[in-house]
Amino acid sequence: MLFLQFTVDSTRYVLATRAIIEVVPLAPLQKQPNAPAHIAGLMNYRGRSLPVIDISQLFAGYDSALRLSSRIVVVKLALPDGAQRTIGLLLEKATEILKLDESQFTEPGFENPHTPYLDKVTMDGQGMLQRVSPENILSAMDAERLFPATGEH
Amino acid sequence: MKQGDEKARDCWNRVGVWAHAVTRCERLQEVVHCRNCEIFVAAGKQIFERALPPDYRQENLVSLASTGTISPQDSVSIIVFRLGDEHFCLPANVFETVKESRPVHRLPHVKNPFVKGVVNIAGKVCLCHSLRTVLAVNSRDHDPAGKSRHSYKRLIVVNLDAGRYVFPVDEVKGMARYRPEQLKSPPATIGDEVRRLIQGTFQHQGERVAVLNVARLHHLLHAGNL
Repeated sequence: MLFLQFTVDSTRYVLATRAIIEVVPLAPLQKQPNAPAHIAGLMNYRGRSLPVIDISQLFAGYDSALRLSSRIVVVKLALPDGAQRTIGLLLEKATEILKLDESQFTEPGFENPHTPYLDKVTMDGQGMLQRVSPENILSAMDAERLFPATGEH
Repeated sequence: MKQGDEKARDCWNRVGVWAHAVTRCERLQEVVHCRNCEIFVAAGKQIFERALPPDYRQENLVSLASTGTISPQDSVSIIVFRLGDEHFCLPANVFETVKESRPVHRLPHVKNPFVKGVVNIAGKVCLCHSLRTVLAVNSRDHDPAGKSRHSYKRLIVVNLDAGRYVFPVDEVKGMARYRPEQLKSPPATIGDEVRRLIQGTFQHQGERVAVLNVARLHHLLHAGNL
């Protein structure tokens, strides 16, 4: 399986490419007043409005750096009720694709109810990689209120 | 990484393959060329760590907002290849690899007209089928022997319904996308047997590209004995 590697605060994470529709460069984002800090804004994606979540804010509470290596990853999520949503994830250092085997991942042995999106871990020569399950990102942030079910996204 | 970087900075110019120095980096014994060395690769990736050029985000807005290009959401990703004058394509996800053209070893007493022989793909002996025969392509390539410097002959290695197939093609054109509703039915002039293998055709860069039906192609090749 292929995974996209990114970092938050120099910790490495991977995202399964199966969920990814497209990796796009940074584009202007429409800021949303009074929104939580991890809502980076809305992006014009192919003529539709795409909410973008800043993963650095969500994970570590700082804004993603505005560098060429920071990219918006458009992912398709299957919600528990069967509906599908498309959202953008703003990731830092999203420049590398890794080939990892499902069997390489092991249970982290630690569970935090506040970070349900953090999944199994795997080790390589440079340290540890933790898998992020994008489905649980939404549930972690009150999907009902922030992302109404209306609209065919 | 920071400290190691400082020390290693520019090492390809000082002790690497671009250096005039007599003492060469000992890593070269192992990696042969600097481009295979992780220090060189890591340094190259630093280009992505630059700040955004002015107007960068605004420029991206134009390309990302446009609905004219086919969005990956509702389209199929394919790889287009050429046989003679005709263009065909298979879904990108069935492709395992594309290899340089290489000799195909003929098998004696093979009755199946589609089997060209066996070929070495990464150390494995694979059966090589002729899509040209399967699809009844009559037009010859301008350079059938592949001797010219401008020959783009390749072997495509694909997985059709878990069966691995190798097909020689005259050129791999690259990746493209089509929307399912773009497909038109294949021309009426082609024979029924070939017609069954073609899902439809669409226009791509001025050429009519025929989309091959993976399941039927697999069925046809799988059913045929040697």
